[in-house]
Amino acid sequence: MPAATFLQLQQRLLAFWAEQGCVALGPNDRPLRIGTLSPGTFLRMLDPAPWSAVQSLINRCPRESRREATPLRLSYRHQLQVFMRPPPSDPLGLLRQSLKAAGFELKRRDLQLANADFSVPEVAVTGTGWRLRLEGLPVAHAYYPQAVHGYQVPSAVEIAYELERLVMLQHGSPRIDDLPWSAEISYGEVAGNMRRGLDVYYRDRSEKKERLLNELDRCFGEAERSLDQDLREPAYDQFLRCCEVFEILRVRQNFGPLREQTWLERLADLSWRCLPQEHRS
Amino acid sequence: MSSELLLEVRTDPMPPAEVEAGIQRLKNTLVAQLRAAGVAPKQSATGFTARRLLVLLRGISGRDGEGLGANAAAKIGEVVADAIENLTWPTSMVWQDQHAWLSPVRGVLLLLDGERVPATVFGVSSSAHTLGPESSGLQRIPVADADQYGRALAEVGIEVRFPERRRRLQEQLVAEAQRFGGELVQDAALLKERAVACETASVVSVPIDSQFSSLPRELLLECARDRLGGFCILGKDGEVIAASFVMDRWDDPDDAVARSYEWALTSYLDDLRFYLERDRRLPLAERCREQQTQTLSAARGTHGERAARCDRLCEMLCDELGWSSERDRAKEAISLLAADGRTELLRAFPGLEGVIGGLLAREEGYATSVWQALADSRRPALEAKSLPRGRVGKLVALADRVDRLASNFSDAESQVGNVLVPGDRDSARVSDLVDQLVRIGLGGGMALDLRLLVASALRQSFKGREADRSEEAPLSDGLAAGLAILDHAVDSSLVRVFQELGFQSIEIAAVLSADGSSLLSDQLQRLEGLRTLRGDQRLDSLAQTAKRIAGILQGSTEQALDVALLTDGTERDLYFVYRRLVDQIVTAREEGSFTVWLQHMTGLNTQIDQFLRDVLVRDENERLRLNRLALLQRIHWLYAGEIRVAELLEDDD
Repeated sequence: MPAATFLQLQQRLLAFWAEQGCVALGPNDRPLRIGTLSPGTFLRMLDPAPWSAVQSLINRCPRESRREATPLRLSYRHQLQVFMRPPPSDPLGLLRQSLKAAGFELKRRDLQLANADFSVPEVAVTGTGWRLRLEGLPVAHAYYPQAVHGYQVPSAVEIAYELERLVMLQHGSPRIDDLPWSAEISYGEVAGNMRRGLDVYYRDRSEKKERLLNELDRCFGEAERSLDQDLREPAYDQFLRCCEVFEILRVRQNFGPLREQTWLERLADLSWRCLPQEHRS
Repeated sequence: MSSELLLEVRTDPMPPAEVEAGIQRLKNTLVAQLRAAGVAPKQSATGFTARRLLVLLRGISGRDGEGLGANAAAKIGEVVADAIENLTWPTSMVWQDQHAWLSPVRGVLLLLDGERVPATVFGVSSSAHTLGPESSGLQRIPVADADQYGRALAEVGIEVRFPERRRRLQEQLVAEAQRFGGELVQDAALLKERAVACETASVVSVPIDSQFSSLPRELLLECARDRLGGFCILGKDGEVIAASFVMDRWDDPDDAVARSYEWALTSYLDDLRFYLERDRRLPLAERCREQQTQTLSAARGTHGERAARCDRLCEMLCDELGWSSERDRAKEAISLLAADGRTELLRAFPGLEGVIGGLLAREEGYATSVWQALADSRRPALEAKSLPRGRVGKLVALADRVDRLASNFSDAESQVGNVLVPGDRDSARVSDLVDQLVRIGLGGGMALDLRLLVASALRQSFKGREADRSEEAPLSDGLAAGLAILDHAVDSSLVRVFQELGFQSIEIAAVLSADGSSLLSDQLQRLEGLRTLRGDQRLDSLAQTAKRIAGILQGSTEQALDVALLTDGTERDLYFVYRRLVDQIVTAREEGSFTVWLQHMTGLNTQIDQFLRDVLVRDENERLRLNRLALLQRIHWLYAGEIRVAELLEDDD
């Protein structure tokens, strides 16, 4: 199978998981640092009802921002997120099959699965599972979320892929901007400017500390106001904006360790209150 | 006739750190349970990778050496399933909402003399086949017996015997280093982790692009190790010239894997250089000024407060140890201690805390003792070679750890009100920190009383929070509990660390239970002296006598000795021998001449033995009795004052 374009790879993976019974969700409409924060995943974390979904996400990671192009640190990048409840009996088997479906000839690759623990502190989610490395690069993970705020999560599995890294490995080239987005256009032409702009913005040009802190406070307050009116989804939407601002403050080194920790705890507490009351007891 | 049992448990990849101990527990449990069920194996062997655990039992027979009975297979199947399912792990994973083990069990190979033994483990039925490695697409391999199992796995590149796999991997790494004309940077922990994780371990190496040759070596090594599990190869001038990576596959025929590793490494090094350049923009001193008012944690206060406390501790240590010439450098290092706390490099490589500060200080031209103290300040003092370099380094590391130790109690206290009730995690942290303090103190040959040092830091820490308490007030519950815990922690730690250094339990007990100096350097000197006397029969005789004296003196109160009351003969002889030898014994011990010490003690011992034979200590005449007790009390100090000789009895029950 010839090396896939970015879109082909994404589509092959989406198709594979759709065949496994996952609902293909639309893209995210708020910047997310990591797929676990997606409303389609987090808001259903404690809901025991069966739910399997696959979603192509655009992630923003201010901490990964750089001014020069680099293949492994992308502040603006794509992730494919799978959530399955109940979990399949052999998630690692499916992970392997999905990579084959995406065009990887695994017999020619150095595929290593390593046991790893996971945590997403903004939402106080912890879990355990595996990180998948191809040629040493972490390209995917599969994990069983185990607890949210210490509450046991009904059995589920989360799988996520780093799409840019997979495309680079398929083409054997780290020059991400030169790789094909589709047959007609390169990745750089589609997403390069956005990433470069965000790199500069996050590192050096974002708003001043006080304004960012005000924004953090404002969104936090708005989320609480929404929760008071029992509007959990809009509250979570504001929570995600809080997370983005918080990340920018961190990358600009505007927090001391204690203040950073205190805000993380406040955010985790807020995310907890966004979950349906009936699942929190 | 004896039988052979082959068990292989296949799982999703397990955490490498747990596997080695786990397979031993599985084997021991299995053997014990089989024996209890009347099935006795004579030989056992184990093997493991991160995705399979192997137990091979040979020479199996029934009770009294008879053959296995008709129902043996069924019984063995039950025992094996029970042993596996009930094996406990430090961490476990839950799958299918009902099973919990280190990692999900995917297959069980169970053969008795080549025949499949029916068993069901976590819903998985036993089989007579195994699976090949990841790189073979997990191909199915039929198994006839243990020998064929080993051969079949070897054919697909799997060496299931861990020591052999690790040895081969080490050989490949060394060969790769030689191919580059360099020397491998040895890393036993990484070698073990890679050898467990990779079933078909083989090595690819890539050169380091010369554009990165100016990066500090420490950073290059950590980057290759942390990001890609890579080993570095040093050139003749000590520069990093290449890196080797462990693949979980046999070969790399078209170098595709190597090329990917090469660009991945280049990308990570590019990141490293980017962060380093950004961090260089702000001098360390300025970073520290910015951090002064930032709160480190609720228990430790601001960076500035922490630095002030560490500085006071350092001053105290310098006074105590007479290291006044190190005072200024130590003060300078402490003022920069947290300087790397907010560097970009540290965010990217949290494992390099301290090292980064040291590197930046070196680049900014600080004195060697200062930048080395920073570089070594966070390195866990786990063994002699990881101790901080130089006196300044040791002072700074000690002050930092004592401060962290004291704050550990503050943390715990704030959680449970005024009474300190440390949880398991706190206890582990306290033990770890005290162990490090002992190692640093011993490694630095410090004449330091650790108990006093940590107690003083703890009192200081509580003083700040109990300012309204008067000096005469009894200790608060929290402080009293903290002091008791620290006392116990120091006792346990001294035993552990002295054992690490190769001293015997009886030697350690003889030194630590004595009443004399509790300075670390003195304790070490006494232990080293005792080590030179190991195996000398005279020690046994000394110990016997010491026990007899201790027994006689038990319950007695301190008495004054009246020489005029000593009776002629053995009693008076003992006194004069004691007077003649006492200074020589003490001097010999203080000078570390333990052979001379033993010689004099033996001389005294002979006289005491005769005294105890000939003289009735418990005389009816009270004055004589008390005077004899007084004589023995004086002599007893030589047997228990600085070395408790009675503890040196080998078979003490």
